Amino acid sequence: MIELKDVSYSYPNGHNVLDNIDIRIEKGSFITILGDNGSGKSTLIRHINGLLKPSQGVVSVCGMDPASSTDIWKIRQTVGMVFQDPHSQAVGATVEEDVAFGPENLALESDEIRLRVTNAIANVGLECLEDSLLMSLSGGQLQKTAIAGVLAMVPEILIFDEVTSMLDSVSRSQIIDIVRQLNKRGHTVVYVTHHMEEALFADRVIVLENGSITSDGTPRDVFREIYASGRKVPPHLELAFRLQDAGMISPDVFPMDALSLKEEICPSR
Amino acid sequence: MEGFLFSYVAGKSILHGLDPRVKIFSVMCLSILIFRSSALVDLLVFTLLFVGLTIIAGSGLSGIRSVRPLFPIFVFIFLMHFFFTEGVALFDSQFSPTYEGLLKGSLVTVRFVLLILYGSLLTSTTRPAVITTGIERILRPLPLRRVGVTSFEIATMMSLALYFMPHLLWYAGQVKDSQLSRGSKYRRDPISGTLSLAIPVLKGSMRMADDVAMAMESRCYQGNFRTSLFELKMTTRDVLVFSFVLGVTALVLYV
Ligand SMILES: Nc1ncnc2c1ncn2[C@@H]1O[C@H](COP(=O)(O)OP(=O)(O)O)[C@@H](O)[C@H]1O
Ligand SMILES: [Mg+2]
Repeated sequence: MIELKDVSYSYPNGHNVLDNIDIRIEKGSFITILGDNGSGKSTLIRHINGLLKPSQGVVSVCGMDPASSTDIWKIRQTVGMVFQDPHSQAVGATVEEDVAFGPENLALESDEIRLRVTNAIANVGLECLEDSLLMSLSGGQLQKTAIAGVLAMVPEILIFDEVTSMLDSVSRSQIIDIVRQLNKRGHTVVYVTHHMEEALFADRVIVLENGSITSDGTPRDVFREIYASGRKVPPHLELAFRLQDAGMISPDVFPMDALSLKEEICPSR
Repeated sequence: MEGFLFSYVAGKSILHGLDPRVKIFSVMCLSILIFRSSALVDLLVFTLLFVGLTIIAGSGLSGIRSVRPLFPIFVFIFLMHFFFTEGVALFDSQFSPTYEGLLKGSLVTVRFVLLILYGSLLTSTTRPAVITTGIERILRPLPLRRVGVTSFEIATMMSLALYFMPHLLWYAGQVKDSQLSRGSKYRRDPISGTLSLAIPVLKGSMRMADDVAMAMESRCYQGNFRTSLFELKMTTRDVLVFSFVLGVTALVLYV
């Protein structure tokens, strides 16, 4: 349903950031795009909701073309995007006002807006903060507000661009739980990150390096490949791979965290 | 944020329930009347009216207290008139305040204080988003599109400013802290100190403006027609209050 065909992109200053990208993303899947800072992740996903238009190649989202101005508003309703900095995507004074911003742009009736706002806020667990000033919220709460603001548009596809990179570890895992929950409820999720740990939950991981895709597959295959090329993987995975190479645990094991690896080695009764 | 200048204090009073357009219109009428009154006695009436409305609003003293930061300005305005109005000198010295200055200074200062107080009564009984929606609806019939903006854009700009003003102050604080912690000295030289703060803050806010614009676009902002979470509805009570304010103002101005 999302398809990028041979997409390249150069910024107006001539900086060539994407090279011949080919990606197909199925409806309902959970994709992680993994890459270091500056590898072109943000540039890539901004093609999906028409914030950027490809210099070469075609993008198609649910049969629409984000580069065409006739489809653009429909596309932006279909594709919700949450950004990195919790402070610079807020547009309202309070949580409910901010969440209402999208539906207001869609020119919905105020009853419908109210309904969507209440639902969206409940989906991210901010019920008791509906009326709070954004200035008084923590980064994690702001980021949940931003997610609610996108959910209030009722998009099919959700794109998260390094949404946890400015948060503490508690908010980080809360946000990841929300994202996984949303995928279970049927949203297609494209989750962009430079943290390998955050790529483990996906159905599929796409690794971006200097504007090109270098791996694409299940987390197990991709992390195996990264490990085989001699680069760092999360410690519990490195241990699992070493144990597998030594024939001590089954090669099918792909632990999400240290605890599940430990359960694999010596199960508690 | 409660208690800040012009901040909203939640409540359920009649004033809270009035349509923002009626409240904005009333404050405008009151401002005109206050500016036209030339006797301290008239201003006493407006002061009593303000006290009455504040009691109705139930916001207590917070409205009055929030005006405190402006106190130096009030004093300044008063002193300017007190000293620089021509007239009968109060003391026998070269730079003496005058009797006329005392009168005029009091009059101008009380007017100014009253304007601010009525303004803060409006903002303390009306959510910022409702005020901007009200202003949007007031501006909508104007031919703004001829000059290239829409009433919706103006309203959006105002709500953005409401969020970003405090945020910018917070951000400036962060930049200042990070500079201080890297050993830069502020107090020595106010000019280069201000510059070295202003430039990174300006740079940061430009980048932020880009990000915000992108986030707004992603949420389908187009600056054309949009609706509001807070739908405005004129009730009979709103119409009555509106007519009353209009009537009284016309009476005072033209009779
Ligand atoms: N507006 C821009 N103009 C020119 N170059 C840019 C712009 N935005 C990003 N770049 C460059 O493009 C490259 C990829 O950036 P980006 O897509 O933001 O990477 P990522 O999101 O993976 O960190 C970087 O080298 C960056 O400097
Ligand atoms: Mg990025």
